[in-house]
Parts: sequence; C-alpha cells; structure tokens
Amino acid sequence: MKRTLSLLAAALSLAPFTWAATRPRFGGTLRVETRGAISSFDITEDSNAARAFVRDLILSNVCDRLITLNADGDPQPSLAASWRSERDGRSWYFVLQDGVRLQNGNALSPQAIVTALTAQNPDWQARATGNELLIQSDNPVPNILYQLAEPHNSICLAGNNGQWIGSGPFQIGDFQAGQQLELRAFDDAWQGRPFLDRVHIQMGRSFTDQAADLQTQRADVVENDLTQPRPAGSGIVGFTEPVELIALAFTPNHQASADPGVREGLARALDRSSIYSVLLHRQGQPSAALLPAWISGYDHLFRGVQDLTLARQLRNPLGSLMPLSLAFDAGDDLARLVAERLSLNAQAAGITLQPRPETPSFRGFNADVRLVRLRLESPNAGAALTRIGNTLNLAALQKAQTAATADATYAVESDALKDFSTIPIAHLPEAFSHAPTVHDWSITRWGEIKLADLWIEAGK
Amino acid sequence: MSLRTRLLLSFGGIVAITVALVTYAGFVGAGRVFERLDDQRTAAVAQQFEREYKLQGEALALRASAISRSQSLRNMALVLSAPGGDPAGYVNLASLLATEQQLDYLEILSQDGTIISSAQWPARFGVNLPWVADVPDWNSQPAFLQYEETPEGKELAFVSVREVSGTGQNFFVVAGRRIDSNFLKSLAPPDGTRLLLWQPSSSTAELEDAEGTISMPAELKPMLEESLQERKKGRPRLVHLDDSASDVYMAHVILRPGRDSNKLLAILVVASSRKELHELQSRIRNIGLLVGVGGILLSILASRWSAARISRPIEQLSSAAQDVAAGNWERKVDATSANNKDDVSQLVASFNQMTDELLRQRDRALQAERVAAWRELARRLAHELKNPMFPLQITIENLMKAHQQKSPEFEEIFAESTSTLLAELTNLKKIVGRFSDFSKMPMPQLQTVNVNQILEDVAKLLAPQVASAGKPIKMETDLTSGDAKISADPELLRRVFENLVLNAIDAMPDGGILRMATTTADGGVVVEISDTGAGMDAEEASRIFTPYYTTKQHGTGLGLAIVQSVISDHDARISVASRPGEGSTFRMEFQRRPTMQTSDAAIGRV
Repeated sequence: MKRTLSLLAAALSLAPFTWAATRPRFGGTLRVETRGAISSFDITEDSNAARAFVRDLILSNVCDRLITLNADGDPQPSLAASWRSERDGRSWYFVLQDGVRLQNGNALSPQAIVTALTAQNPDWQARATGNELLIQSDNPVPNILYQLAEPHNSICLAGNNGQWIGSGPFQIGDFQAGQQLELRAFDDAWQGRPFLDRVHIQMGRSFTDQAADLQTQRADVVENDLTQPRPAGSGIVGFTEPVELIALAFTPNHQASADPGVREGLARALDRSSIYSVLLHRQGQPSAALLPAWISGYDHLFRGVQDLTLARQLRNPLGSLMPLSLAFDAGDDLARLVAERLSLNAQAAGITLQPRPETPSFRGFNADVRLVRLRLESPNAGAALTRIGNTLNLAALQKAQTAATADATYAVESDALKDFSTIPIAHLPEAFSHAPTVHDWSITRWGEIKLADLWIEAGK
Repeated sequence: MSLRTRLLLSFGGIVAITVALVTYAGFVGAGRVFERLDDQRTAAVAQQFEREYKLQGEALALRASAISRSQSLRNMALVLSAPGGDPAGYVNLASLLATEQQLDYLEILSQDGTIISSAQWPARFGVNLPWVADVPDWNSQPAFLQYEETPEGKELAFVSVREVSGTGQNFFVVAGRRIDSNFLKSLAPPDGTRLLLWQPSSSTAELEDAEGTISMPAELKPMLEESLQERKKGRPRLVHLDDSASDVYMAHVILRPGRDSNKLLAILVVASSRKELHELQSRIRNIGLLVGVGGILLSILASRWSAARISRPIEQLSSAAQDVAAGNWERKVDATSANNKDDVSQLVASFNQMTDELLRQRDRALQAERVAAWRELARRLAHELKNPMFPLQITIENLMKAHQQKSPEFEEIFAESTSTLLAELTNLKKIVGRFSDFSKMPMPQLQTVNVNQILEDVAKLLAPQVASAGKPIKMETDLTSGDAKISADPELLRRVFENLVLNAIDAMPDGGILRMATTTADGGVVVEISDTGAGMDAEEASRIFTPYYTTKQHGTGLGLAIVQSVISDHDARISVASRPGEGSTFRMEFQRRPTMQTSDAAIGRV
C-alpha cells in the first residue's frame, strides 16, 4: 500500500512536467535547411526537384488553395467551402469561404482567385459570380480537385516586390535570393495563427552541412540524403513515398537526338538495377514508368530491363553518330553519378553520351538530353501526369487531365513514353530529419509539409 | 700616303689584329669550355630527373601499399570475401581513400578485375579491367604509365598496383597520379631546366610543361618524331622552345613506355636552358669587343703618338728639305729628340749642318761672286776709263808743252786740245751714265701683259734688222695658243726680249734660225729665244749673266746682267742652254702673278 501510494505521489508530481512537455506552445523560430534554393517567387513548374521542394514548402504555408488533401489523399475544403460539378466534369462550381483576409490586409476577392487560377491553367475558363467560382473546360476534368490541391494552383497574389501574398498561416518576410527566406506568422490567418512566430529557411545547404547543423542544433528540420548512410544522432526521420521521378528528357528539335533509334537504343542500354542498387543504395525503386507504383499501381507494366543486344541492334544501322550532350544539375552529386553511369551504359551500346553540368552558359535546353528530377506533387495519377506533361512539355500527357480511370491514365502514359523522348529511370522518396524539440511535424506521403500545426519547445 | 699615316696604319693594324685574334681565341675557347660544362650539367639534370621519376614511382607505390593495408580496405575485403557480400556499399570508398592519400586516381578492383569503387569515375563500378589479372605479383612491380578512363576521357597517369590479400579473395588497389603540369612541377626541375611531356597518341600538337600547355616548338617536333619512330632517345640537341631567339635549350629525350613496353605512351624532354651560357658568352663577347675596341683605340692613340714621334722629325726634315730645295737655305729642323744619339737626331743634326754649310758656301759664293763682280766692274771701269783717260792725258801734256814752249800755234793747239778734252769727257760721261743706268734699273710696273703680243711686237720691230743682216736669218715664232698673260712690266719685258733677240742676231753672223717660242707650264708661261749661232761652252754659259762679262768686241757686258735683273725683279727665272756650234737657247720662266722682290743676288745699285 505504502509502495503504491509512493508511486502514485511520484506520478502525480511529474504530471505537470509531462503535460507541459506535450502541450503546444506559441512562439519560437523554426530553422529549416534545404538543398534547393530559389531566386524569385515563380509559381511555374520546375524540373529541379530540390528547388521545387523549396517552392512548394513556401506555397503550402503562405498561400491557400481551393482544395487540400487529407492524409489519405482525399480532397478537403479549403478556400472552397464546397463544390459540385456539372456537364460530366466540364463545369465545376465552388462556393468560396467568407472573410478570408490576405496578408496585406485586403480581403481575398473571388476575382483574385479567378486570376490566379487562369494564369496557371490557360485551358480553364474561370469566372466568379458573387461568392461562387465557376471553372469550365471544353473537356471533362475529373481530377480537377486534385489539380486544385497542387501547390502550383495556390492562390497567391504578387506583392510590390514580387513576393507572394496569400492567405496562409505565414507571410513572407526577409528574403535573400538564393540564400535565405523568413516566414512570419500571420496573426489574422483565417484558419488561425500558427504556433510558430517564424520559420527561417536556409537555402542551398548541402546534405552534409544540413546533417552537421542538425547534429549541432543549428537547424531544426533538414533534408536527408537517402543515398548516404545516416550518421548517428541525425534526429527523427520522416519519409515520403517515392515522389521524385528521375528521368532522361530529350530536348525537342535537336538533331543529335532526333532519330527514334538513338532514343530507344539509349533506353534499352540503361542498367536501372545497378543504378538502383549502388547509386541509390536501394532507396526508392527503379522504374520505366513515369508514375510510381503507389500512385498508378501499374508501373510494373513498363519494362525497364537492360538489353544491350537490342540496344546495339537499334544503334548499329545508324552509322556514325554525333555525341549526345547530357545536362545535369551541377550541384546535385547524385545526378552527376547517375549521369556518368548512364554515359557508361550508353557507351556499351555504342552511343556516346557526354555528361555536362549545367552552367549559366550551358542550360538544360542547350543539351541534347537532360537528366531531370521532378517532384510529383499529387497522389492522383491524372493530376500527377498532367503536372509531368506541363513540366516536360509533353503534349501527349495533356490528355491525362481527362483520364478518369487507371486504364485511361495507363493509356495516356504509355502513349507518351512510346517514342522514348522521356526515359524514366527511378523513383526516389524524400526524407527529412527534425530535431526532437520539433513537435507535430507533418509531411504527407506526397511530400507536402504543413507548418501551421508545428511547434517547438522553448530553448533549454 | 704620308709616313705618319703608314706608321699609324701599320702599328694600329698589328695591334688591332692581335687584339682581335686574342679576343676571338678567348671567346671560342671559353665558349667551348662552357658548352662542355653545360652539356655535363644537362646530362646530370637528365639523370636527376630519372632519379626523381623513380622516386615518384616509389612514393606512389608506398601510397598504394598503404591503402591496400588500410583498415577500411581490409574490412571491405572481409565483407566482400564472405558469401553474399554486396559491393554497393563501397562504391564511394575509393573517393575517400584517394582524398586521404592525395591521389588523382584510385580504383579498387575485385579478384577478376571488376571495379568495386573508382575515385575518378564513381559510376564505373562493375566495369571489368582484365589486364590487372595478367601480372602474378603486383607488389613487386614498379609504377608505370597508362591511360586512365575518366568521364572527361582518357588521361595519362602514373600508376602503381598493389594487392590486398590474406582475406580469402584478392583485391587490387590501382593508385595513380595524373601526368600533367603538376606532376612535372613535382619533379622539381632545377632553375633553367624545363620538363616537357608529349603524348604521341594525342591528336593535338601540344606539349605539357610545368606551367601548362604549350604549342609544339617547330625545332622539337622532328626530334620527338624521330625518337618515336626509332624507339630510342637519340642524341641531345639544341632547340628553341619559344619565340625568343636568345633562349636555346639542350634537349634530352626520355622515352616512357606503358605497361606494354611496345607502346610508347609518353616522351619526356628534359630541356636545359642555354640562356646562362649564352649570356656568359655574350658577356665575354661584349667584354672582348670592349677590350678589343679599347685596345684598338689605344693602339691607334699609341700608334699616333709613336708615329708622330718617329715621323715628326722626318716630316720636319722632309719639309725642311723641300724648303731648302725651294731656295730657303736658312731653314732649320728642330732637334729636340731626348736621345741625341739616335739615328733621327743624327740625321737632323746632319741636315742642319748641311744647310749651315750650304749657307756658308752660298755666302762665300756670293761674296766671291760679289768680289769677282767688283773686280770685273773695277776691271771694266779701269778698261773703259783707261781709254778715254790716255788721250786726255796726252792732250793735256801737249797743251802744257805748247804753253811752256810758247808755241806760235798755241792757239790752234789749245783749241784742238780742248776740243779733244771735251769729246773724251763726253765719252767718259757716257760710260759713267751707262754704269749709272745699270745701278738705277727701275722697279717693274706690273700689269697684265700678253707675252705673245710683246714677242710679236719685238719681232716686227727687229724684222728690218734681221732682214738687213749680212747672211739671211730666218725668224720663227712658236707662240702658245693658251693663256700667255702674265703680270709684268711691258716696257722692261720688251727691252729684255729685244736684248736677247739682238744678242741672237749678233751670235749668227753667218745666218741661221732665230726662234721665239712660248709655252704654258706649271701655272706660268715659258718663253724661249734661241739661235743657231756659235754657242757657248759651259764656262761662258755660267758667266753670261755676270755684269760686264761679254764675249763681244764691243759692248758693256751689262745687257744680259740687266736682262737677268729684270727677270729676277719679275720673280721669274732665266737660264741658258748652249753648246759650242749648236747655238744657244735662253729660257725664261714667268709666273702669272709674281711676288715683288728685290734682286738681292745682284750687285748693289749705284
């Protein structure tokens, strides 16, 4: 009895402390480090996954969208309180939320929403009537809700200095292009003030430096390099599904890569399994499909086994070939390794592929083929394919907007891949580590990070 | 060319040639010695390079050995030797180790030569290098050259291979350094030496040196190609490696085959600068030139001084001799030689003595001539005066006698006697007047006269006299067509020519040819008046101009003396050429502009 009472007393005495440790608190600055860096506030597609992540992180927390997705990937109301569709998905009506204020103090008008959406989606005809927004399209858009949930359809206005002004929980503060960005809490956010006072994003940090800063408590949230072993004390790690597509994209209208035999020969020569097992350290999955299995479910239908014999058969009749230039991100070590490995694979098939890092004078579009790392921003197959099509200028993928079933998206995807102008290589997940002082860290399977509910412990 | 100039050229030339020969010999000799020393130095540098190269290979082998024995590699070897060992986790190991060991290339290979990890090309994992299995014992092999594959292409590397054994399976460590400018720099070439690397398989005609890439020097290319073809290094040669003409190198070629000794992967050139040697030679040459020029200048100055010292007295002698020959017998030569016993001084003394003697003899001759002239004058006077004096004396004695005798014819005798006295006195006056005239010969009034014209006038004047001579005398004139103008007194000149022509007529009583001729010579005019008369012997010819000397029965003997005096006053010269029976020629040499001088050789004027 006495022992029981003693234990009870001890537990009760600890209760306030325990409760205090798990209770969110307002205040503090979250220090985030990223590998990518942005120089301007550009909402358009970016084929660089690292930069796309930074952009999406900011958009997701500064600007709202009409629709958000829950943890299961299902559409949820946001700026759009409700919606309905008519004409088999050609017309969509959205009732907008009332009383949403922008960070500049103005009310968010329906017309502003129309402007933002039509800028990103020229094929849509949008108009606002009172508090209702109508989006119309000549073709059915069954996955419009997923598209509206993507970061590039965030409702952002451009401020005087080009920075985004939204209605999200954070507003943009100090910005040093390519280096750092500060987000400040928006006290009048319509969904409530966030716990954090500030988010300081340090851009352009290498994986190694990020890991070191997390270990030395100079950063709270960092990205992880999945291709390297994680050092001890690297914090709590969160993973996404494979949301990054690594692929080769041939530049249109380049003579060197105009012959389909060259492209297919290169595709057949690729050794995805070596890349996956050695360079990717078995992270993610090798793939010959644009969409990963967890989105489409049919990636296994795209064969990606190396066939050097076929590759040589395709290449030999072509006689003397000009070397192909392969552009990759100069700051991406993994891209360099992959590019060099692809060069060796191509060499085995008799195709000369010359990796060249991108520089201000040698951009991706100057090369015959680019090694791209695209960030997939939606768990919906149609929306994701549409996004890939817009980013890589693959007209064949535009039909994905209207694809409502897996068969339809498969048909669109296989149609887009049959000319080998895009050659998928692998899908890679993203991983983040955060310090133990960070609580309620939330990242979706498709890599969206919401900072509104995140809080940090007071400094010790 | 004067004696001084000849002496100067002789002395100066001898010294200059000597200095030049000595300088040249010194230059050539020193140059050869330095070249030999430089060749030895270059050969030593080449040997040093070979040693350095070998040391670099040994250092590389040590690093490869260190890697092969490292814990990380042994751990890898243990893991991969076990069944199911996955090499994927070690794909970056070579990069880490290469960084640690400061290697440009490092590959870790499995037993069959498959790349597990490559520092220079990480993506090259899985590629097989079969050559690594060809050598049974790599641990005793020295470093060698070979081409390494990189993403940028093939690069020439200095490579060492070591085995990792004792873990069940063998693994290989292939460690290398890039053969480039940095490698050449690491060989630490001494100052003045350049190391050049040529890769025969390279498509560009470029070389690497310690500073970077340079274009193939034109002079080096044949040497390298010859070495490549003949597979031997050949003799060292002098080559220019850049555009500077002064920078020459002695180049040694060192061949570097690869692992397969049949294939030449690189040719190294050890080039030792001859710049220092050239500068030294240039300095010697400049000094030699300076000394040579200085020596020559000095020799010229010394030669001038010596020549002057030797030639001055001789020149003075020569000048004095010329003056004496021109008539200035009082000219002396300054005998200031320090050594009064040397030949030149003696010559000078002898010359001065000679001129003194000449002067004395001239004075004696003058005096004798003067005495002779006075004697002759006195004789003539005595002769001339004696004739009229005797009748004077007889007349006066007759008169005295008649007076003493009170001769009734005294009046007749007196008148006759006084008449005789007056006539003889008049005769005496004439004689005295002629002597007075001679003493009072007027100074010539010079003006420009044409000698030809005067001779023609004289010829016209005396033509009647010539025509009226007993036997025919032919008068010939041969007057120059040139400029016969001189500065002279026309009247005196006419008298001279008349006198000579009259003498010539007198000398041809039996007829003959009288010739008057003029020529121009030595800037003056020469007049010759000749006859074909009896002529004179040498003694007569020598005395013909002496006053009162005459070969005629009648005459004062002053005519030719007056002629000579006039000629002398005109600063001209008269001479006579005569032989008995062949006639005589009187030659007068006039200057165009005589200097006024008194005839100091003549008897003093009365």
